[in-house]
Amino acid sequence: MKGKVGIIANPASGKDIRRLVAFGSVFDNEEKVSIVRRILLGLEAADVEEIIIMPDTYGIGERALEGLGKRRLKPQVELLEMEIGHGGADSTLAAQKMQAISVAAIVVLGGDGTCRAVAKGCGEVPLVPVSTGTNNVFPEMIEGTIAGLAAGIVAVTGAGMLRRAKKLDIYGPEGWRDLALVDVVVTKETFIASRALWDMDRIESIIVTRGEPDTIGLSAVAGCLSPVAPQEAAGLYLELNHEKPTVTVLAPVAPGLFSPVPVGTWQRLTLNEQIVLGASGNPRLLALDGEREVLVRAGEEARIVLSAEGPFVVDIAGTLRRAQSQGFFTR
Amino acid sequence: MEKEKLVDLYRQMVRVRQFETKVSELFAQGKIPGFVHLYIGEEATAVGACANLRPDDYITSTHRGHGHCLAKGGDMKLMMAELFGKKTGYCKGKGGSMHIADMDVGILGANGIVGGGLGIAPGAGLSAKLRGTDQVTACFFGDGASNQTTFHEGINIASIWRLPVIFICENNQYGISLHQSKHQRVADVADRAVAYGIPGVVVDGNDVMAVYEAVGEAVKRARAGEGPTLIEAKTYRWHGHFEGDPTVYRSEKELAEWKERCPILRFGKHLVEMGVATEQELDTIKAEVDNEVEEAVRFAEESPLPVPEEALEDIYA
Repeated sequence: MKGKVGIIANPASGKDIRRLVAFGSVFDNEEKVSIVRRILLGLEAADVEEIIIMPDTYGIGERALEGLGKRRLKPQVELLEMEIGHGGADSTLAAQKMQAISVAAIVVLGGDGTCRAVAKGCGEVPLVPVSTGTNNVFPEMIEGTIAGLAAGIVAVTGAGMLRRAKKLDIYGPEGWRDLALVDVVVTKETFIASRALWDMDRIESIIVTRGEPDTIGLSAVAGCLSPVAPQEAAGLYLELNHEKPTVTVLAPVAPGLFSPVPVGTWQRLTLNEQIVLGASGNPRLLALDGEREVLVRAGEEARIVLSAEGPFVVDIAGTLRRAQSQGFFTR
Repeated sequence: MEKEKLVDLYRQMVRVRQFETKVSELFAQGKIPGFVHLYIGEEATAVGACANLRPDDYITSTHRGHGHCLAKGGDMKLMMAELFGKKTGYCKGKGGSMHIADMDVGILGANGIVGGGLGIAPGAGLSAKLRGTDQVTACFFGDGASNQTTFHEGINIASIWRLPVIFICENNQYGISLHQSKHQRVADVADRAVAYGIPGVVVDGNDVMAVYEAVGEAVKRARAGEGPTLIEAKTYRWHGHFEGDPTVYRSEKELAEWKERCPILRFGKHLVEMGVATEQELDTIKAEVDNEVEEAVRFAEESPLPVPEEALEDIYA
C-alpha cells in the first residue's frame, strides 16, 4: 500500500437556477454519496494507503463509508480537519490543506465552479475532476470507480499521465482577484444573485481557455465559431454585437438551451496575452466558469490574462492505459 | 431592474424588519397577547418572492407569516391591530398573529398548523386553472413542514395536475428547536422535487435578488401552464421559534455568522456600491418606515377591543 489521495465533493453543486432557466438535471446528494463510495472502492483497488475526505454539511464522506456496511476498507480513511459551511471557500481551503499534507491527487466532485474553487488551492497537486451535473466543461463525465482507480494509480505508481490546464487570471487595480478555468464572460448584470447566466442580451464579451463544438455553456459559442482545444496554447476572445453582428452563432449555452449569439468580432489569444476591460461609466459583473462572481466597479479597469499555468489534470484514459501496459492489473 | 423597483425591494425588507422588531419589543412589554413567531433575518425570501406576484396572485403563509403578509401587500395597521387583539384588526381581534388573511390582496392566510398552507395552495392553483386565469400561488413553508404529509400530498397533486403553484421552502435550519440535520436525512429539501418530477432549485434565501430571480422563473413556468416548482431558500431566523424561546439549542457563534449575512445590510451595501442609492436615501427609507410602524402601533393602541357579545360572531365551524 502506498500514497495518499484527497476527495473533495461539493454538496451544493447541481441545484442552481439552471434547472429552471434551462433543462439542467437535479443532482441530489445521495447520488454524490454513491459516487464517492465507488471512488473509495476504486482507490482501494489501486492499493492506496490513505484517503482524506473534505468534510461537508451533508456528510458525503461519512455516508459513503456508512453505506459500505460491515465491509471495511483497506486504506485508512479520514476526514480533513477543517471548519465548514462557507460555500465554495470550503473547497479552496480543503485543497490548500490537502496540498500541505502532500496528497498525490485530489478527486473533485462537482461542476466547473467546484473545480475552479479547488484550483485556487491545490497548487501543483493533480486533479481528477468528476462531473456532477449537466453543464460542465472542465470535469469529465466519468464513472466514479474509474476516477478512483486512476487517482489511486497516480498515488501508488507516481506514473500518472498528466496535462496542465490553462486558466484565465483576473486582475483589478489592486492586483490578482480570481481565476477561471474555462471562460470569463463580461456581463451588464449588476447582481450576483442566482449566479447563473442565461440571457444573451446581457452579455458583452466572452473569453475562453477552451471551447469545442461538443461542449456546453458559454464556451460553446467559441466552440461553434472558432474552436480551441484544451491542449492548444491559445484562447479566444469574442465581442458580442447585438445591433450589427458579423455572424450569429447557434450554440448550446446551457443544457437543452440553444441561443443565437450575435458576435461582432473574435480573435485568438496567445498565452500570456491580456484583454483589458477599460474603465466604464457602468459597473460590470464578470461571470467565471458560468457563475456571476467578480464585480468591476464603475470607473475601474480590469485585466484578464490567458495563462498556461492552471491546475494539473490526470488524463484518466492515458493513465489507465499506461498502467495496463506496465502490468498493473495482472498478478 | 429599474432603480425604483430595487429601492422598493429594500424598503419592503426594512418594513418587515422594523415591524417585527417593534412586535418583539411590544410582546416583551406584555402589550401583545398570545404567541408571535418572528421573521427577522428571513426578509429577503418573502420580499424577493412576492416582488414577482401580482395583486391577484395568491400566497399561503405559515405561523411565521408577518413577512409574507407585508410583502404581499397586507395592511400594516390592520396587522398590528390584530396582534393587539383589537376590533379593527384583520380578524376583528379574534385570530391573532397566526390567522391573518386578506383576500383582497391574495393572502389566503397565515396558518397555525405546520404545513397547513401546503394543502391550501394546490386548491388555489386548481381554482385558477379551472377558471382559466393565469394567477399563480406562492406557497411558503419551512424545512420542518417539508416532513409533513401535506408537503408530499400537496406537491404530488400539484405535479400531477400541473398546477400553477410555486412551493417555497424557507429552510431556516430549525424545525422548532430541532436542527434540520436531526429531522431529515436530506440536506437540501429541493432534492425532494425529483420524487415528484418537478424542478427543484436551491437559492440563497438571504439574497433578495437571488430569490427574486428564481421565483421569477418559477412564476413564468406556472403562468405558462408548465406546472409547479420547488424552490428552497436557505436562510435563518434570528429570534427563537417563538418570542420567549431561550434558544438553548443553537450557539451564539452560529447566530453571529448568520447575522453577518443580514439580507438588508447586504442589499443596502450593494445598492450603494452600484450607485443605485445613496446611504442618505436608505436612511430616509428607514426613517419613513419607522414612522409607518409607529403609526400602526398608534392605530392598534387607539382601537377598541372586541366586545364580549361578538365572541360567537364570525365562527364558521
